[in-house]
Amino acid sequence: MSAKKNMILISLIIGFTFTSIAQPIEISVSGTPTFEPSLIRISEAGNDFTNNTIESSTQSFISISAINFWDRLSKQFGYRVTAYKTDINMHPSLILEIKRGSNRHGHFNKSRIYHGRNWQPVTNTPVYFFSGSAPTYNIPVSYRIRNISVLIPADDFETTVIFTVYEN
Amino acid sequence: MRRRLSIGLTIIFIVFTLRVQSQSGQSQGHGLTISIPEVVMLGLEATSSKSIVLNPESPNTAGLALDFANSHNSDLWINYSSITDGGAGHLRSVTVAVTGPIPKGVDLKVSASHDAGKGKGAVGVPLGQVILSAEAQNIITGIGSCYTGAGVNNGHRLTYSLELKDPDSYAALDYGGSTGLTVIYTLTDSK
Repeated sequence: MSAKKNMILISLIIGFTFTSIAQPIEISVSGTPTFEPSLIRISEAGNDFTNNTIESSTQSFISISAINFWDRLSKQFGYRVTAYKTDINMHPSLILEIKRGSNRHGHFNKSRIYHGRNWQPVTNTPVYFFSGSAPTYNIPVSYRIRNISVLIPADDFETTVIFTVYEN
Repeated sequence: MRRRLSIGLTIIFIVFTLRVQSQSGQSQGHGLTISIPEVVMLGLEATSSKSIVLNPESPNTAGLALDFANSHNSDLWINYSSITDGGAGHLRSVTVAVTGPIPKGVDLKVSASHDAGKGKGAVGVPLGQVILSAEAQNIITGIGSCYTGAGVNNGHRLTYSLELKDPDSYAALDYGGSTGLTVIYTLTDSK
């Protein structure tokens, strides 16, 4: 092999090293879930809230794509997504849960998604949410809050939900 | 030598290519807000009518006084749901006041029992018997975020009694038929 070919190989190695540091798969989240205030109501004096669990009226959407040129080209990379939350002002009794919907848009029907169809709690430590393969766009994520009660002080409770994608 | 170098570089290339597959994750998130509203709800419950009648018994024998012994009623229950903002000292009270003329010579009194324990949270504490007047007075205090349960046998039972103001006030009694009064309960922030 000539010195020129060696230089090309070295360049590729450096290039791939930087690519590897730059992370090969990216995740983007759009949309913000909202909870309708009208769902939090009391039917009669003396009662707790009618619904102790409310589901968001809007969803957020997760898209997974590859940064790596070869992965993007092949559309055959595998990934897994974890979820956790960081609380800004959250009551310990409130339980946040998520699940994904089935609708999504993939590339040439190569995208596959596994798990995440059942409600699961989001805690302050990352937990596995779902996995899949190939670029996939607009995976809907629904949210619900459990344990809503008049025993919780009136306040605006805030948290940030963070999704992380790892390449399998 | 060159051939070995090329093989070595090729191996390194493959290793780095594979290494790409095992890098740390990339994250993105969004905010989420849940608003728990303030709640102030109070209701009166009774097995039948919420209107009650208190009338002392007339004496059967000339020379005896009106008998107030049975002029009491415990048919009403007070229920409430309350959410405060949870701040220190942010509690609520139930006040009671009456509109309309209370007959001369008598006191209309009301007391609330302790909570029946069917609900949850920081339910209030009754203050004991209150002599009703047009001025709002506390009858239950220390209410935080709680619910008592709805309907009769939930919350606090109210006991009304009509009593002679004092022995000397008998002269003030005036035959006037029925006097209709309205008793108003309010769940309000404690002052």
